Amino acid sequence: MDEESRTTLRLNELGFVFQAYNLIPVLNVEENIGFVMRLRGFSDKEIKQRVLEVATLLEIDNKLKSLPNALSGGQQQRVAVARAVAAKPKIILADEPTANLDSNNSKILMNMMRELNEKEGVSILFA
Amino acid sequence: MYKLILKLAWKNSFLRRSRTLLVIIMIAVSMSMMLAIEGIYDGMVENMVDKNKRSDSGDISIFAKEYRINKDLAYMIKNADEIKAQIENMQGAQAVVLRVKAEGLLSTARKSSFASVVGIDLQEEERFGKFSEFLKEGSIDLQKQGAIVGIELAKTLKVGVGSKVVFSTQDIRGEINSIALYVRAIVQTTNISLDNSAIFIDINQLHKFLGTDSKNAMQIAIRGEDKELYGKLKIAFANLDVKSFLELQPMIKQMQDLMIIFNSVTLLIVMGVVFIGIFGVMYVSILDRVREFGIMISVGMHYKYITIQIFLESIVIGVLGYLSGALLGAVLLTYLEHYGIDLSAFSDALATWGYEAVIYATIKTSYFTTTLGAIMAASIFSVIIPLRKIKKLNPIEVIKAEK
Amino acid sequence: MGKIVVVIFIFMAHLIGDEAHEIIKKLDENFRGKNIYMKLNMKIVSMGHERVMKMQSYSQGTKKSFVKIIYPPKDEGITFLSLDREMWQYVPKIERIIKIPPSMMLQKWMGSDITNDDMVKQSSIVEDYEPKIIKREGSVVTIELTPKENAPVVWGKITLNIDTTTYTSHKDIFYDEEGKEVRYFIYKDVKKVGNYYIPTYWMVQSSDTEGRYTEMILEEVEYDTKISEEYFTKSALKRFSK
Repeated sequence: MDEESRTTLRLNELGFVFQAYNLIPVLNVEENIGFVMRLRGFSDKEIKQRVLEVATLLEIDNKLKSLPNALSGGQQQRVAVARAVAAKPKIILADEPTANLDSNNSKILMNMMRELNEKEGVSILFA
Repeated sequence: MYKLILKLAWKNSFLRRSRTLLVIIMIAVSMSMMLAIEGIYDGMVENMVDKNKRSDSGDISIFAKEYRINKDLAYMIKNADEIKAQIENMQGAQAVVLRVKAEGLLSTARKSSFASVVGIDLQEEERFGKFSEFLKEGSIDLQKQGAIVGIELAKTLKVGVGSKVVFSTQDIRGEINSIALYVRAIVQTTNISLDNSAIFIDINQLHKFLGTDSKNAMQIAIRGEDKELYGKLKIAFANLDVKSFLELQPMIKQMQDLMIIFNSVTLLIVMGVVFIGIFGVMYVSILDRVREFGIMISVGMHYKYITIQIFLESIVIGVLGYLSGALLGAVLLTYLEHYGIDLSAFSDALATWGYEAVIYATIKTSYFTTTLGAIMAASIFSVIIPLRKIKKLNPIEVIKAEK
Repeated sequence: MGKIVVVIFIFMAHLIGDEAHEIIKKLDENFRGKNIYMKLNMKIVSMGHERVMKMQSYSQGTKKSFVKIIYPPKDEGITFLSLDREMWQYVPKIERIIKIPPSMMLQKWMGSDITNDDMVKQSSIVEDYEPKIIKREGSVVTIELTPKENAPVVWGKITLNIDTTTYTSHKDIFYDEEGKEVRYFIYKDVKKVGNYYIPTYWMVQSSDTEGRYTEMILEEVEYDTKISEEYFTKSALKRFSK
């Protein structure tokens, strides 16, 4: 597999959540969540709807217009998760998503991911 | 999709606002300077070309075959009045004048200087090249042995309006003849040879003084931008010496060539400034954002979009620099077009080259289009090296690497 | 009554004008006779340097003159011919006849304070100027010459101080248009030769250059002798150079 097709595979089939600093700093929460969808060519309307949906699920719908650096670590990770989920990938690869969070925030994030798993039927692979 | 990339590029361009602004200012200042210098230089040369054409050679001049080698009264164009009428009927000829010239000595009680007397018809010269616009002092009038003197010649002889001067030369019979002339006006044509040595008198007066046939003339000068006119005249008057403006003024041709070189060099310098400026900003910015690019690639953004984004970032800076440069340059050029730049401090040196002390700029759209091209090219080239940095990235490594 | 005064005044003015004309004419005659032969020494003094030249001059009327340099050896044989308003020079060293172009007419003749133009335009004083008596002191009459309208002359005016006993001038002053003095001639040592009087010492000096002047001393003067017409032809330039 060459780099090009690997990228396409990642785009279409996989979602990623990394340890920290996952987000694109110049885009606001809404744009960050919609980023992968946009790359996959969803329409503006679809993106807007879906972003609101996952944001509500992850309780960050009130932060949609904020820039990443205005959010707490927990909220940032939730945005990262939302981005991974939004495009409905087959599998989400999460690389120690809670590593940089305090225990309280970790708990909230893990709960939310579990909820996603149930509601969206997405598989999440933790590392 | 591209909207997103454009947005990313736009936002990232201003990630480090002061640095980007600095580069934009750098581009704007160097560009506007270049435009101003270009405009001034062009203005200088154009002014010279314009005044040389108006005061002397026109777009095309015709002489008798031997005249330009041996400026003797023997080499006059015969029946110049008929030829003039003939040319006036040719397509593309806007104005035609006859001139009679003779070289001799112009003297006052204290000084004397080599001078060439030019016999002109004031009304026709006015139509030909707005002669009255050359006026520096006095009033344009050649009645009753009136004469108009070139500004440098007037300085050499220390004469002013109202002075009497005596011009001596050989007439058609070879005898040395003198005529008293009264200075009515002093003109500055910016045509060095005229300013330094010309004294204009009425053409009929000069014919009478020289004893030459009033049908004849030394020079037929023609205004007419039509390119075909020159060829037609060459064929029609094969027995005469038909010369185009640039053939008569090799110096101006040289200056025009020099101007092209000069403009290319300044353009290269501006390109260099743009290149270095944008290169610096983009290189640092890309190194800073390695992790960000890593994330973008790993979530599925193609490398090609990243390339486009980076090109766009650099072009945004380039375009903003260009726009502010163009604006500043346009303001500067408009000022210089109206008020000119006063180089009186160097005017002596300039005058010897036929320039005026106050130089007015010209504005050409080509200034703006060529710089746009140059700046765009420099912007694009400046990110090629930084881009290669990213090409080598392994996204996973990058994300893992540092926090 | 008033009319008569005016008529008398005009008459007087006319008379005075005529007298001035008369004096100038006599002065001019004294300077050239019908024809005149002179041998003269010219001394050019410039900033302490001195140069001496000797020459012979033949002239007839106002239009013809021939000059030959006989000293110093390096310039010996240079001849000049002026006919009407044209002037030629022959230089034996290069065996060439040169026509003096108009642009050289106001150059200094052989490095002196006299211009080529002075040599050619000898008749100009009578033709181009209007004389007027402005002062009388004993036998000395001061005449002011002002150029006639459109006369092709550079001087604003010339004043001559003429002794009417001999009709020779002892000082001519040349002024520019603004009335400033430009140069002057001083004449001394008047001698009577035949029917004519001629000063045998001439000096020319520019008014604003100190220590530079040209002196001429007439060693021999002969009036109205037979001067061969051959002198006043171009072939004479070469022929009489030796």
